[in-house]
Amino acid sequence: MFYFLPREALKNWLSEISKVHEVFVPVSPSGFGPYEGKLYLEKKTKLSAKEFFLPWREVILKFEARPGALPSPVFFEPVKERIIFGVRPCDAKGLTLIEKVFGEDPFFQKRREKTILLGLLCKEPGRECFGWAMGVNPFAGEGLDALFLEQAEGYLVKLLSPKGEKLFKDQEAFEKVGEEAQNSFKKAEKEFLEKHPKAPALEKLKEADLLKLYEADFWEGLALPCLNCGICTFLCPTCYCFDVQDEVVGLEGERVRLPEACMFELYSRHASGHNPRRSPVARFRNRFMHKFKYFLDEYGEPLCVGCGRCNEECPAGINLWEVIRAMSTL
Amino acid sequence: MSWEPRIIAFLCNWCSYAGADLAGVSRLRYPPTIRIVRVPCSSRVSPAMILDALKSGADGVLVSGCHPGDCHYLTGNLFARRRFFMLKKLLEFVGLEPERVQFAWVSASEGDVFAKVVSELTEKIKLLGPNTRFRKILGGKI
Amino acid sequence: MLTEKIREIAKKLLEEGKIEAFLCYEGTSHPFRNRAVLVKSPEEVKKLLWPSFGVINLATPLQKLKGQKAGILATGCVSRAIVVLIQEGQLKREDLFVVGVPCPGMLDPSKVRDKAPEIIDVIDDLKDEVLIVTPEDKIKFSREELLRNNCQECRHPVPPLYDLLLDFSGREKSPDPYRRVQEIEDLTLEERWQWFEREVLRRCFRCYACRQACPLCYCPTCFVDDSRPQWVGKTRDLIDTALYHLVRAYHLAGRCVDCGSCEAACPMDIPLRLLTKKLEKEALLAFSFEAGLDPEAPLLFTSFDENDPEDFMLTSELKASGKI
Repeated sequence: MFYFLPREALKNWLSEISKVHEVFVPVSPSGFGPYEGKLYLEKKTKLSAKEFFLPWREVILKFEARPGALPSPVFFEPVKERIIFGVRPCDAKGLTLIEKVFGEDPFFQKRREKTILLGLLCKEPGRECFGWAMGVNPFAGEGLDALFLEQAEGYLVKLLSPKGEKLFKDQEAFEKVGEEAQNSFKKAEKEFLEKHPKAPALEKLKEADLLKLYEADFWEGLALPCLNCGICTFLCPTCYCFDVQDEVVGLEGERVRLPEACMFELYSRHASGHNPRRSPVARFRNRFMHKFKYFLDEYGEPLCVGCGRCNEECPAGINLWEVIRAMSTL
Repeated sequence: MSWEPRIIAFLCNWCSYAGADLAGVSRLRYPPTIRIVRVPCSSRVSPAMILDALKSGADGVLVSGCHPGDCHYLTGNLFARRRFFMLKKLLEFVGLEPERVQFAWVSASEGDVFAKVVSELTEKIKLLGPNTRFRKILGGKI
Repeated sequence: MLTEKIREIAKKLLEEGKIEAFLCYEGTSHPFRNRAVLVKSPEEVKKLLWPSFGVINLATPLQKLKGQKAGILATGCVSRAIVVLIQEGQLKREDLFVVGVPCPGMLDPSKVRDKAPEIIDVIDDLKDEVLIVTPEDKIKFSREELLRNNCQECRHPVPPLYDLLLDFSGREKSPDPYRRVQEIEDLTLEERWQWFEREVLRRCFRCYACRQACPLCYCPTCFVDDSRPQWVGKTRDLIDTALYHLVRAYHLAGRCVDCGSCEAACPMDIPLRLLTKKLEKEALLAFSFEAGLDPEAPLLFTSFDENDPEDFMLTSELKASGKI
């Protein structure tokens, strides 16, 4: 089903629904925040909406730090019903990839259940975007409850889930639209897909021999400039690796889950002190092997939605495509 | 009950710790605000130790060692002096109350000086009030 | 042009067998990003170029090459970082062939980025002008305006240590290196904390790019990664983040060569350099010390003077007021 929202009605509508729900929007080029009149829709934000589902600090247990005290049962931070507007289709697709792994994770699931995701199609692909090459069709709106397509006069809205349908059932600002408008959406989709094909590299990667890839000699050269910092993993809408820490202040303690990066030496260090990925090259290789081989073999899709944030933000100038090229032409 | 500051004091084993001991056996009075950590030398104290004390709830930190020239290890305190100078400048620069972190020279024979140092430091920190700026609270803002 | 000179000398050194590899920069598909590259044969030198955006200090990847006789392109700050690494026993002088260049300064990607919504190319004359090429137009800017902050405030554009110095006229020494530090110093204590919280602590998401990019952060185990005791909590808690940034900066006191890699690597545009620049200023004023100028000289914290200042100490204050 499709609706239409005139451009000038958007902010009003966001204020209206803010009275009933918690509403988050992109507020600046850096990322999302609660809607308070500020809205940044020009480009995709640096930090994706991933942080709403795998937050920077997820409390999973509380305890008293004294002998004999038993920890609390598993703790769920109360999450309110919330709407996130302005999520790019690639980022939403990223959530569906994370879901393949976190499908049974109660913390992630709770946050998914309580959230209505409203997507916004980009007017044009950004310089570093390559979602289509990874097989992402932004018009399909995977992982979203509704998808907004910006047109000359306003937004054409495609509903994608029962949650989305429920939300829009009684929103007065939106008008139902006829077949003509629906066709314009389909036309835009068709044009986009014709211009932006899936990369042939993915098929080659599927066939590639895992051990040969692992032992290939291109890794060292590609990894030389890499700083092994966490920028690419933290900005990536599909990276989901985490750490669990016990935080104690005085007698109070909390066990928290937080994002962690496979690029860090500490990430793979064992309690014994042994580290199977001690060298920077090994950690560099693991990140790409995970995304473009292990995950691909396991789930049939790469763990990448082509948002291009890593290419855009890598201070060392590493380009994911050069790695994919090397891997797929081995 | 009035609020009493909690001060962590890192005292060098050879001079300041003995100075504190002398203050005790001489029955000098000073406020019971300090918790002493004995360290081999003032230069053993790293900035992470000082900041960790504040983060964990201390209202002030005192580091005290031998007078220049008296160091058991000959020059430890002279290295420490440079480091503490730089640390203090950095803490001031980012807006941490500089009075909360103090350095002193107290020899083994200066029980009276030690008592004075603790009294003065306690007064200074009482004026500032509890350390809320650099104190970690579980589940604090991120 | 500088690029040709670099290629020529790298080719010669490789052909003569004086070095096994040459560490320099190459271009990328991104119009304002350069990348470190290691070339091992004379045929490969055509990749090399003068990097207008070589924001990550080459002394950082250099440390991955231990045991190889390597040539390296060194601006003032790269050369100074090498000096500190030699002083600290991390590099051997005889393993290196340093090709110095009097540095014209480099451009700041974040300053360039804001000049136009879409930028195809950036043309830098290395003197006065920068042309930013957009799909429609070429826009002219003064080079000074687009320079990195640390280049504007550079005290040593000419490398202090080199085996060969390229013939080029770089920038002059900055007349006013501590202007930005002074701006913060002029704030009240309260305002400075607000500044620190707003500009540093709230933005940081602990990717450690600043630590990783730094040529002088080479500890096998960083204090952040210590778990017994754990000095720094791993979450984005503001106090833990503050502890990280303060100790990181402090560990660079008297060592930092102000190459600006930390600030350039930061994805959140945190003004990290101001912390280390403040320490640089204090070391200069109080101890007349500057890092990375002489491989034979002692380091700030491995030396002392009997007359070092101590008026900051509580006992000095009590003595002055006659209380003890």
